[in-house]
This record gives sequence, structure tokens and C-alpha cells, in this order.
Amino acid sequence: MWVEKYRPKSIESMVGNEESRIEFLNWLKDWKKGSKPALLIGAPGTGKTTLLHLTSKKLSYNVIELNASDVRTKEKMMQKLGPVLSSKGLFGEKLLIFLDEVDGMYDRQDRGGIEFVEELIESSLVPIVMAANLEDDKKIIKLIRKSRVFRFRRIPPRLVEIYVENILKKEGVKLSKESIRLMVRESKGDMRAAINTAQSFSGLSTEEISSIISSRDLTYSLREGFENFFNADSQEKAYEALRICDAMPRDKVRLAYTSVINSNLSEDKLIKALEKIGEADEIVKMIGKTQEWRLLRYFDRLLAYSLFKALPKGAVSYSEDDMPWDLKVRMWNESKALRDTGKSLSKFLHTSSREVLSTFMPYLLVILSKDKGSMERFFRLLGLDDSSLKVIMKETERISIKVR
Amino acid sequence: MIVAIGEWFKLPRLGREFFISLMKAGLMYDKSKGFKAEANTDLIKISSILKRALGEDFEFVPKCFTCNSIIDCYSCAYYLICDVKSLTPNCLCDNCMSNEDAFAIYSNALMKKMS
Repeated sequence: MWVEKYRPKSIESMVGNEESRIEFLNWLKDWKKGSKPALLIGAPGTGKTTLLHLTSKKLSYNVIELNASDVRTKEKMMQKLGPVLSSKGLFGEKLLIFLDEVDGMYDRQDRGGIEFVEELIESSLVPIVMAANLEDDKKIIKLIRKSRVFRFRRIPPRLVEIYVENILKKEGVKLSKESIRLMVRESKGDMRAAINTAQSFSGLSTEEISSIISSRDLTYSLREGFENFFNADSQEKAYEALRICDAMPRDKVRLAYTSVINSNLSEDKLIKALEKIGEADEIVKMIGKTQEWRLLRYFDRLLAYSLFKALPKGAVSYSEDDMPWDLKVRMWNESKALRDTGKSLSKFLHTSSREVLSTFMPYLLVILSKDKGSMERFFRLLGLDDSSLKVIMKETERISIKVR
Repeated sequence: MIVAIGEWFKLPRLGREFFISLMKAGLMYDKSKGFKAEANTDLIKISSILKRALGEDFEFVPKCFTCNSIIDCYSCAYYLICDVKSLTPNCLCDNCMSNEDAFAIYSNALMKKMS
């Protein structure tokens, strides 16, 4: 397999993520007892594991590797790592613990594995390196706070191209520039995929490669699907974009919602669009409840047709932000005051503080804004200090102006 | 507005809230030089804040890893499939790409930066 044969032999022979590679090498070089662990975050095929092995080899570390999504229980982890934790290598060799796919552990939080990892990174005598595929950091936020993070982004197509070209040159395979570009486009920044495609296509003509690629089932990611949907010229094209979008109906509803609330639509258009999304959401929930899964086949058409009519072409662009921009900016900037309020109220409302801020708070402020005295008393009873109270008062003013 | 990753750039006054948001997102600020987004900052977040604040499209473009020139993404064969904001911030310019030993040149440039 070319993927194995041409696996980079040194850090310099990899491509992409240059800064992360250099910084990771320096991190391991300078590692001393008490240093933060390293957390490599990035999509598959971006070079996290390869970099770890090459760097360890360069600095003469022996790697003890554990796939954290397979070995999840505290007992199993202790069994594997226990002897390493309290000592250095038996013959004085340098050891390094590598926990791959740590984000996989968070799917099952009940077996003590995560707590073990969190304890482990604080007390280890040897360097610990963790890797996660997640691009959504929320799941591993605790580990991020305790670690030195190295991000691995997808490799730019041009760098994939020169890497593949280099392999083809070594193999003596001649492919046209156009064929190589077709393969690179197919790989979407995943080096492994690009090399595998290059191997399977070697010896074929550009026409053959092009016909194979175009005959494969075309699927869109959520982003591609919705970008095409929002910019579609016709209802049919909008439907087609959603139909070939490789995602669950619930995710499509969520994406439609987050994109719409982050758009600059006029109020009446926004209401109309949200109504349509609400209806689609209701239907997905009903299908789940009644388990009439066959009805899901109508879902894309329903969402596409109803939402397409409600949105002017190009007025909405893809966004994953789950709350309106203005609210988000204020939450970032006045996070302490809002966090305190959210935390205090969450105890009474039996929900998360985030939910309190995004869902309940606006209504509460509208209700309380009618009587400033009672509002002040209410928030004082929650234990807010003067500065937090000032922020809340400002919020109330903003919201009551909007309501008027 | 198009800005190269790692280069200083100036912005008009955006107000306190946007400024704080940009700082929190990791944008660097220097009173005399302006703003700068380093390779490891959250480029998606920063460009989305700036898009809102400026009311126009804002794009970060990569620089050539080997010769440090700014890359004209619009002329690239991969422009439609390449999302520079979620990709590694370095790329190769047309000149360096057209060299027969592009890979060797790229590796040498990295070796120089590592030493």
C-alpha cells in the first residue's frame, strides 16, 4: 500500500500544519515534570498520529499507545498505564503516553475513564499526548483547559497535490495534471484518501478517472448542502441540495435554524422562516415518537419546499452559531455577570445556565422591566453584585426598547 | 476586505463590544501596527466577527510557505473546494507550484524554519 510505503519518515517530509508541527516538536523537547499535557485536535488524515510517532522517534521516546475510545474503564486504563505512571522506563528509556481519540470517551461518561484521564494528566511523571478528531471543542472543553492545544487543520489542496505528485514521480507513474487535480479534489484535504485514490487510479487515463469520479454518488456535507440550498435558483435545485446532503433530519433542522437566526432577514421574513423550520422540527419529532420512519423520505422535500419559499435567494448564509449574533457578543463580553445570573436562575428553573440565558432570560427581562424596583429586588435576592446588576439593567433597557 | 494570515492590518473603529470579541477570539492588537491573526487563532470566528462589524465580506488568505508571497486564491484551480479558514494557513504560490521540485523546496523551507 502506498499509504504505508510513503508514510513520512521525518517531520520535515510531512505537509500542512507547519506551525503546529514545529511547536509540538519544541513542546516535547522542552517537556519537564509538571508541564501541561499536549492535546492534538484535528480531522482524520491531517497528520496527528504520524507527527506524534515521528517526534517521539526523533527525541528517542518510547510510546505507550492507548486508544481511549476502546479502553474506557478506569480499571482497564489503570491496568495498562499503572506501571508507567509511577516510574520511569525500566532501563532508563524515556516514555511517553499517547491517548488516541480521547473525544470518543465522552460518549459514555459512566465508567470513570474520563475522570481517570483528567487525574492522570495532572500527576503524570512522563509526557502525555492526547489526540481528538473533534472539531467541535465543547465536548472536550475540560481537557482543552488543562492542556497545551495543537490544532491540525485540513491540508490545503495544493500541498496534497505536491505530495501526491512526489509519490507518483517516485513510482514512475505518469498522470496528467488534470487527473491529479481531480483526485486531490476528491480527497477533501485528507492525505490518506488522496494517496489511496492515486494508487487505485494509477495507469488510468484522465477520461477514465473523470468518469469514475463523476459516477460516484455525489454527497454534500451539511455546509455544502445548505450553502447550495440558500443560493439555489429554483425549488427543485434547493430540494436536490438537501436531498444529497449527508446528514440526519434533526441536524438539517438545526442548521436551517442556526443559519436563519444569524441572517439579516427582516422581522416578518424571519418569523415566517422560523415557522416553517418549527413545522419541520415538529414533524421530525412526531416521526421519532410514532416510529413511522418511512415518512422520513418526505422530509427533505417538505423542508426544502416550505423554507425555499420563505427565504429570498442568497439572503441567508450557512452558520452554526446556535444563538443570534448580538446575544452571543454580549455573552462573550459580559460573560461573568450573565454567567452568575444564569447559574443562580438555573437552580430554580431546573435547567442549564446556557438554556436560562438563551431561552428564559429575554422573557424574564421583559416581564421584570415593567417594574424596575421589583426587578432589582429579584436579582439582589439571587445574590448578584452591583456590577452584575448594572449589566442586567442594561440588558433590560435594550430588550424593553425592542419590545416597544 | 482581504488580509494575509500573519500580517498586520488596520481596521476602522468598531466599538468596544466588537473589539473585546476580537481580542477574546485571539486577534492580536498593537496600537501602532494594528491587528494580526496568527496561524493558530480561530480564523473562522474572527472573520465572522469582522464580517458583521464591517458589514462587508472579510477573508483571510494564506501566504506562500516557501517564498512568503501573498497567494491569489481566486486564480487557484482549487478555489471552489478550498476553504482557507478551516485549512492550515500556509499554502504554495503559483510560482513555487510550477517548480518541478516543489515538494523538495517546501521541505527545505520547513527545515530552515525548524532549525
